[in-house]
Amino acid sequence: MSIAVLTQVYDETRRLAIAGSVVAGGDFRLKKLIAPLEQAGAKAPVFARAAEGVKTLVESSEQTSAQALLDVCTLVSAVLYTQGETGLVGELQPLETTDLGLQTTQASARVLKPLLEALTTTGSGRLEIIRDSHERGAFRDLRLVKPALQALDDVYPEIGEFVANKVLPLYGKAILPELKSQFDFKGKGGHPRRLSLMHRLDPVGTRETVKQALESGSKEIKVAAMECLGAEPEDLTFLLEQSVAKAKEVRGAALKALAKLDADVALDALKKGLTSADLDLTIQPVRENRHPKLLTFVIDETQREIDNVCQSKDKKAIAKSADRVESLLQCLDGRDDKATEAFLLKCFARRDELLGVKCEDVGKGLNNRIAALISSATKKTQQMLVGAHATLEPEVLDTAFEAACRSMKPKDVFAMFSPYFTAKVDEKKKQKDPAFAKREAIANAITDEWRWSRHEDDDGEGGETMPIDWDPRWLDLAVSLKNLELVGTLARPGHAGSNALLSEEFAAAFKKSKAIHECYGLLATQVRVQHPDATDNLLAALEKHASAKTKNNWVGFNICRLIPDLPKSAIPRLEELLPKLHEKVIDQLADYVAELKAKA
Amino acid sequence: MISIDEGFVDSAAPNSDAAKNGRALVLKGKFLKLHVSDDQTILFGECQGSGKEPYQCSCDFQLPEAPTHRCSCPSRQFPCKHSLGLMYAYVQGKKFVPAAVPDDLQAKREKLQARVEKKAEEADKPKKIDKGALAKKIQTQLTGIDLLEKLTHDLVRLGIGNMNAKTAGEIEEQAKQLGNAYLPGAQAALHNFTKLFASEDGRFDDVRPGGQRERIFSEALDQLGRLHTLVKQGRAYLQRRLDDPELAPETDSSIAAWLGHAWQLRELKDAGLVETDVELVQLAFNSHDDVARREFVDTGIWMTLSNGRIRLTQNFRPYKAAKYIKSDDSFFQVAQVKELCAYPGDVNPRIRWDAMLSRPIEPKDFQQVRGYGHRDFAAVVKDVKTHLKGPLSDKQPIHVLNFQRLGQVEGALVVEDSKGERLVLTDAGMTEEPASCHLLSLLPRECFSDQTLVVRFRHDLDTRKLQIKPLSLVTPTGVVRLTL
Repeated sequence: MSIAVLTQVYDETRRLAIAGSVVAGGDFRLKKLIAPLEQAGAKAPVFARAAEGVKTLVESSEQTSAQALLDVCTLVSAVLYTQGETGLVGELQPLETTDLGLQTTQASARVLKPLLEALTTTGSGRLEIIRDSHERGAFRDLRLVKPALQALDDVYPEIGEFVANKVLPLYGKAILPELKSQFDFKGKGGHPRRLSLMHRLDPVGTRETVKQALESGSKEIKVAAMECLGAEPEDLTFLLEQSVAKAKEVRGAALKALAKLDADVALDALKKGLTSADLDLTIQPVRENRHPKLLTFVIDETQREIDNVCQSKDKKAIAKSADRVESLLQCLDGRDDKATEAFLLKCFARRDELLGVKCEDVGKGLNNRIAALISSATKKTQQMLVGAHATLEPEVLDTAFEAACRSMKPKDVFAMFSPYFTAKVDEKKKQKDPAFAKREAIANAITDEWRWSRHEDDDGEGGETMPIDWDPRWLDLAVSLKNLELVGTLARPGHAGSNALLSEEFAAAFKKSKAIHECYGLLATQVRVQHPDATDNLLAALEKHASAKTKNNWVGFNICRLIPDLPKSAIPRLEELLPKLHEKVIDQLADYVAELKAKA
Repeated sequence: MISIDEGFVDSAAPNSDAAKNGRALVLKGKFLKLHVSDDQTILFGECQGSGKEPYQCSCDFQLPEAPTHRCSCPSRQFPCKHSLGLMYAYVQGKKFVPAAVPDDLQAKREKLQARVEKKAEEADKPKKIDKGALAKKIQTQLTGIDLLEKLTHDLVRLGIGNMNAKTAGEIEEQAKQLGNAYLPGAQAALHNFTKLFASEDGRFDDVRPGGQRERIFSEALDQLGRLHTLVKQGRAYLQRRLDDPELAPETDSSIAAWLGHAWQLRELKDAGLVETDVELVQLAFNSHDDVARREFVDTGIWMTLSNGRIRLTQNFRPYKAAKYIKSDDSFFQVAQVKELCAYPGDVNPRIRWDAMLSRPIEPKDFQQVRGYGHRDFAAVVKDVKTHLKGPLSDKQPIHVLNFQRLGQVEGALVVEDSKGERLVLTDAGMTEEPASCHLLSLLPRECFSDQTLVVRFRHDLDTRKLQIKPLSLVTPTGVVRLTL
């Protein structure tokens, strides 16, 4: 009871402090509190002091009011501070925990700070920091969960995507409440990502949110929500409606979701998509659907359009059908079923017929597309393509070669295709000589295969294909033909012929070179194959083109990246050379030299 | 013998750029001379800079726990990249030729030695006080207190509901005079009031929506009460010192610090506030941007292993000088401090040291930390309340609690002790550290029973609830930091 009076006094003084103490004189509400305070003061002196203070305040003038108000306020606050309520009544439930399921780490503030800044501020170079930290496992720190969630809304969409796809799934269901509380049905940017992520982490629990998003979400949210559908029969009606919606993105999302269902009506919608202007939107969903009925439809439709191409006399109609065949064939990419196999073989058998189509390069284009599908479909189609190599045009020969590389032993591939390398070529009229075109096709196929196997996509993932084992005799052939690009591709450590050729070619290129990048290709090969002169040559190139005396202050990222691959023995020589180089070049090289030194 | 490694040099650098530039100097071969003294206590050399003459730099390990870096370059970073480069060259195994220390450098070393000795000597001598100067200073401070009183009363008369950007700006202007009156602490206290009316970027041109203003009124009134007490206690304290010039600054209360007294080691020693051979474990660390004070503050929360006291290290980096002041970092080992200075204060006083060594942290250290946790919540709550009622007390004290269970009651996070006493966890109103409650649900289940929690208490003036914010969890095998 007495404390309640003090609380009242506090509330009244707070009111007066907000309004200004000048109005405190004669305040009737305060006056009313004096009597109960005095009464309580008989038992506890603090109340008597409070009563005294309130009296002074009520009687205060404009000048003295501030002092009086603060006196009362300080006294009452001090008492109220001792009355803070703690505890909570009710049954103590165990904390719903979602153990991250990963070993957490505790990074130092100096390590975390740049990462936190990358996640929560703007500016360039942040994605690299985030990606690098992700690779090093730095996100296993609990304290990064919230900033990572915040990064979903980053102004740079790639960061939002990266965080949504790679980082946040690490934390599992534990982040769901936070995702849900931040989610805005009318939002753009990060909000569709939030919805997709919630669905990914908990498809059943997010069902209601998805439904609500479909009803009242923004266009972006609806698209994301539709991609979450497909698990329940009731989705079907809605998706069918949306598959003919006005907005292209909405139609695309609906078709994607429909592709997850096997109902006849869903298949009908996809079929309709294939025959309408939405063909391009339908390709990916159809490719993911494995229903035989849909496959039959695709095959029949493609067959019909190929017939049109072959039989029509109207060039416009041919071109239109050919475009549709190109798109429809994409629906068959990645399939290895019998029906697809039979159909592709049938198409392959019609290649001469297609070549005969009198409409620009339509036939060639379609044959290339068919060959590409055949080369990766089934073992049987691959064999068919490879077996027909002698009859193939140069444009398709490389595809057959690739199929051979994937399905045959390296020595057999060499035996079959090396004659194209050694075939006599009319050097004077080589552009018109099919033998030259075929040789180039094989050479390009080898270099392309190699490049592709080393290619890294934006997410830092490795190339899609496994590196191929080449028969060692290819390198001998490349050396004898002095095909430097091919030597660069096939060269391996300790190969005397290629080492000699690389030395000879480097000497000539180095002498002529006016900038360091002109030597890059040869240097890169030498470093890769641990050529005995690799270090000497790289140092010589740096000295010639990036010394302190020259005006060149830039050596480029590619040259820098060669340094960590040099042997350890290069370190003292590099350190000796560095002071002679341009200062800015040293700054560029410094990190790479450190990387080489850090190598075990 | 100089025993340093790359990690030591990295941590000596004021920032990562300085470390990178120091390394680059070695790579660029900018060091024309690299020497080490015959007794292996100092590295010195010459480094070519942009000028004609090379810079003379040195790293003196005469006092291994507090190396001295010297350089003739004009850089304000300390240590500069040249000194760092010199150390990098040493740890990377570059050839350092033994040589006699140059005369001028030797003279500086001797001066340093003499200074250290003099300091030690002076520590024993009674301090002379210039009574005239002190009286003058105190008189100026008293004038400053009058000004603070006038400002506070003006604010109360005006009413905090009538505060606007213009008034807050004017108060800020006047607060500068408190700095001139040797009252930086009082100035900061006034800042704490005005910052309530500032936007997140520290500007006063922001009109806060009504709801937000309502929420700050109670806090604003509390701050005014604090200023009022500061005026009263400050005036009395200064008057006492004016009357008796021999009187040392008060150490049993924090009033001297509130007025902005810069404690000197010697004063702390005289007052018996220096501890020797102390081992400390850092339980939490945060680095926050104090927009109102226009500085970054790095705060380390440490426990002394011998007595379990929780104290703070604070590193203030004003925006203008942030580039030149090394930021503190979180620390994961046991700090062994030979001489630790503790500032006067109540629950979590500030501590400082000039030199320290470190040793790896072991399970027995965690056990010791856990041993100091309060098992009886009622007792610690009583202490906290008694502490909070002091108008000038730290309103968000830190304690270590040993809880039996951590769970939820109607959605609120709660810790419970063995007697069933409960404390509610919240992030509300404690902005120095980022929010941490949500992280608890990411911890393994075993962290929810019989563990030790480092917490910050806060009494909410509107809801009148005393609640806690978790900063770290101490398990038998480690410290799980929940804040940064």
